[in-house]
Amino acid sequence: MMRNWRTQWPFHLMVVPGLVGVLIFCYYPMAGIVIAFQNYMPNRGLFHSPWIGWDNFRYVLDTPDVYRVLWNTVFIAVMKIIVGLIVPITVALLLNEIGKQVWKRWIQTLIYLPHFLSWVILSGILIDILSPSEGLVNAVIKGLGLPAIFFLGDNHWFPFTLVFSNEWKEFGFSTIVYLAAITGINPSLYEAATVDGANRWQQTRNITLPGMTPIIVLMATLSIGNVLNAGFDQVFNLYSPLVYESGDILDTFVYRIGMIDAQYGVATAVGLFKSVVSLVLISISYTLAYRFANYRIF
Amino acid sequence: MPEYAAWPRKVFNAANYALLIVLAIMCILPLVQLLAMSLSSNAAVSAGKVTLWPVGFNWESYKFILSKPEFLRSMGVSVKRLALGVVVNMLITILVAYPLSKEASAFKGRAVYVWIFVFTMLFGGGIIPLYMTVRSLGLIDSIWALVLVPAVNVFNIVILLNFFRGLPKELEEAAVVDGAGQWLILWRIYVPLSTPSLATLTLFCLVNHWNSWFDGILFMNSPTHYPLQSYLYTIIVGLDTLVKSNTDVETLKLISDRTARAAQIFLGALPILCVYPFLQRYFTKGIVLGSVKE
Amino acid sequence: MNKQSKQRIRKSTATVTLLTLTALLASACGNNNNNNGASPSASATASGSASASPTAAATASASPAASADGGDAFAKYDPPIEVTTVRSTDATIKFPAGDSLDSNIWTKLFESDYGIKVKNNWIVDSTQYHQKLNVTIASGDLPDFVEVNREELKRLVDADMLEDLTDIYNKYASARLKDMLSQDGGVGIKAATFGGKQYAIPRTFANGGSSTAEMIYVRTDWLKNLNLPEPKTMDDLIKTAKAFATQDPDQNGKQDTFGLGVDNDFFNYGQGSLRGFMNGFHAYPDIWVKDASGNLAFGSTQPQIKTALAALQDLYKSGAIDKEFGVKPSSKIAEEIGAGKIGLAYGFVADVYIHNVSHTNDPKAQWKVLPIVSSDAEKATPQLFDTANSFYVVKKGAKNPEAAVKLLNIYVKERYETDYTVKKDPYSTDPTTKVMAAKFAPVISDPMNQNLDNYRSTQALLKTGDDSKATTAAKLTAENLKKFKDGDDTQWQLNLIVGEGGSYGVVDYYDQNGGGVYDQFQLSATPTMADKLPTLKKKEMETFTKIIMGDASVDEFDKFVADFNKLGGDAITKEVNDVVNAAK
Repeated sequence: MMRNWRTQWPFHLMVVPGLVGVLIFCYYPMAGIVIAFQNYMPNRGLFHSPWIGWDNFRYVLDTPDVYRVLWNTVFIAVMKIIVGLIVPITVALLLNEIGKQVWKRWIQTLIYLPHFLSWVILSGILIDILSPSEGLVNAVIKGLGLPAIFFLGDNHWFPFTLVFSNEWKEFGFSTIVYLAAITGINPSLYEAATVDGANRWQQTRNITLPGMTPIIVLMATLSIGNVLNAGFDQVFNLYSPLVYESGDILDTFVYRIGMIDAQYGVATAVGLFKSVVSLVLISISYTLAYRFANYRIF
Repeated sequence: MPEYAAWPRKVFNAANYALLIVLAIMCILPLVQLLAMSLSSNAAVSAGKVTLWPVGFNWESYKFILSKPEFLRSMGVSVKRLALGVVVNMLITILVAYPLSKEASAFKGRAVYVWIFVFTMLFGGGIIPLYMTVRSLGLIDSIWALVLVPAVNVFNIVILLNFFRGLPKELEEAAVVDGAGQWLILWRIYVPLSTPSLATLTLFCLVNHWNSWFDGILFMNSPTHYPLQSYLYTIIVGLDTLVKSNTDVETLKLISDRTARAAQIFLGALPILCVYPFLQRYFTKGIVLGSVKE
Repeated sequence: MNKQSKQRIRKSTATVTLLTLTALLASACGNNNNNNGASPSASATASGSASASPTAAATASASPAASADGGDAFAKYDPPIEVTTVRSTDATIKFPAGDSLDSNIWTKLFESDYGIKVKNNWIVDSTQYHQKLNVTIASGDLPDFVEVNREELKRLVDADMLEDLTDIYNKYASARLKDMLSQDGGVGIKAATFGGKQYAIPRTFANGGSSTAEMIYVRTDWLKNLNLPEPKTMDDLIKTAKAFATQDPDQNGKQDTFGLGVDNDFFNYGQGSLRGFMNGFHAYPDIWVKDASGNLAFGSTQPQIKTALAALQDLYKSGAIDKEFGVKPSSKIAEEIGAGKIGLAYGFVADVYIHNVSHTNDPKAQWKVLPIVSSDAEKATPQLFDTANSFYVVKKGAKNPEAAVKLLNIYVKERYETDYTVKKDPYSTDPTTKVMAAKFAPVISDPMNQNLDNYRSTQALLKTGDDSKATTAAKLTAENLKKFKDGDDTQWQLNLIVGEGGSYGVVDYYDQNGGGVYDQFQLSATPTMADKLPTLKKKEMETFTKIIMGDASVDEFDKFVADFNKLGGDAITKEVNDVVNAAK
């Protein structure tokens, strides 16, 4: 034990600043989770408000629409997770194939721009370009001889519209971390492969992809925790009564409940539910990654 | 690397360029429209007539915004926040990621630490307890509330520890043989060899700090202490008050809420947009690894 | 977008609109003057200032005798006291050099003349006021007095965090203040009263009452092109809508116009609303109305709604409503009006700036504002916005609970009792600096019909030419309207507000013809209402939108009513009637 301490004390010391940070600003306020089991009254504070057990959870489950809402949330979020992994990885690999540095940099910079525009701004643009009568996208569709699609007003299409518009906004920014992973691959591996006569595709498959694997597994695991986050800002700015059926998600649901009466208990209960689900899923994928890939992501 | 002259490769290259360029154009369009709107006349923008080219070209929105003390003042707060916030972020990220990147055998207790950190990514107490905490620390209305509350970014820590693991172990072993301590190994070997990933994370920190607006409104007691995005948010949402304002009547004749908003958003995004091309040069430095022959 | 939330948002926007309507009038005046003469008009109209107040005062109350006020209403504190509050600010508030919300003409007056020092715990942009206030409330950090909305009031009362103001109000409120706050027939005070105790002082706005009704905006040049009369009945209106959509009213040879402008959140304010249309069928969506038996019932479930929906479905089928209205927010409707694609829409008194865009882009575009039309022989009565939406409350246990009332006394005295014909009014907008000091006051309440009175005063002046009784504001407005008549098109927007065929003319018409219908339940949400109404309203918007688009038959309405009642509507109605009966 002492021997451990003698060689390892710098490690403990290095962790201290971060540890203090999370203790103060994360763990201490976490006491607020008790609000989920209370009828919170500000004048009585966190520990003297009346306890009501699982009532806040029951309240949410008793709302007639809640299962539909849960399904919408999971459906949209899962699609976003899958597309959100495939597209940036593909784009990163394609960018890596671009030989000319100038082009590569320009494209990288341009595709990262939409990340900085808010959904309030983008929703106005999307309503225009997705319009069945005048929109650009439908002009193309009609040009192909297909019937126009009411992307924002049709319950079949709306979830997909959310997924793809979100990806359009975010893929450039998400690509950055994969590009960094590719940069970190030891160039001598490529040199050796070239000597062995491997072509670009073989190099990509045998060197680049394996080199990116830790980051890919990590990003996948972390994003699985988002299975109940379907994107409040986006949905809130794009949905309408026409697509409540397919577009109402957990966060818009909580928001609506909170509007008439700020129900801290209910909001906290839903938040806690989301956290627990995330923890379970992330733990499972952590374990799976360790068992099958023999890799500890964190 | 030798290029393959075979035609499938050429076809692939052409298609690849075409695809990526189309993607890039798709991404730049909304920004071009925003720029065009900010340079157009009130009536044209309000009637939705501006697409990609200004209609009724004028600079009034920019003159109007840059003459507003609020804009420059909040820009100043943002710069200060970024300078402090990113340094604190990166220091903590590096310091925590390094030991956690070690094997459990080399660092007893790492698993406990890791989960303590990861847990905070998933669970939070909500706004109200956080506000009470910050208040009890006396940080309300102080820039340190904006710097310290998001100081530990677990997402970045986890990414960096994975990058650290990717570095060849031989380097560290050689250093230990030479008698170097852990601090020296971290700063002299790990940090210099990780410039691409550190540049990436610095970008993430910059963007996080630049974009967050809610904490400014929550923790600051006066709009004069808002960072830029908090100020911009009030402008974007509060357009009613701007257009119907009884002040600046003469200016409002020329600029509508929407041209001004477009200009505000554009000016607000511009500084952070310029950061990326600058950081890009660190992304190619991975080559230094090549010097380490195994 | 989700109905309930957006309604809330737009509700607050509506409040902002009410607040700033005066400002709109001002910018209209100011806009149209290229010389400095603009500014006095701006200032006077904008503030509903003292120059206007003699009229307001005269109409509002017989004679507020100073003697009616107890000695306490204006007594100075010695030694001075300090009270805390929180404030909201916005981009339109301008200060003279060196001043701020923390130190200005009011704070100096309070301190020197009345011994009250007002301290602001925080200041936040108006868009974030309620969010920040909620955090403050939840963390138990309430200041001595604070402005809250109805929901916050209810929550604070429930949490027992407020001082009972019943006796304090009776003892300290000045006669003038009491008179002003009773102009709404006591609705405000009633909404502030819980279990017989008054917990708040309602805040009234300068554009209350009839000014909140919906009206019809129509393009008269299009009517002329198609040889149509101004719509006087619902049949006219429907005919006009269809003609605008199909007969190329702009004569550009293209089928590119819509009939009636409708947005996706059509029971809210702004261009594209359908409230006024519904009111034409004597239907009152989203508010509580008296049914045949005298009990309160939810307007959205009454049979008149069904008739109105059938008419809308017919309009949609005939192409008079945009096929894509279901995804278009109000801002898009405004855009289409500006672009000359819509020539007919229901809207709110302050929407004129939208039509000004249309006129600027196309000088041929002429607009007129008309009262809503009825579908039958019975007169159409518009529904009105609640008067009691904002309140001042005092923290329980505050050292000087009466301070807020006294500050309001001072505000009302300085703004509406002092005679500014002899000295300069320091509170209304300054002509040169555009500073409006009245806005700096921590506690504000203004007479409900202030802008309407201004309109009347202007019109009277134009008719009689006798300016001996006219206010400065009226004189300047009248002058600008004359310029418009003489061909000065820069006064176009002003004319659409206060000129012939303008929006205030319609308000005046409403006011003289029986006013409108208020929400009959102006109290805080009942328990089931808080739990179920958001979901029920979502259902309502979903069903009504589907019916209009023909995706569901009109009979779907009956099913909606049955579901609504089963899923909480019945319980809410019972609670609402119980609460109202108990309050009687």
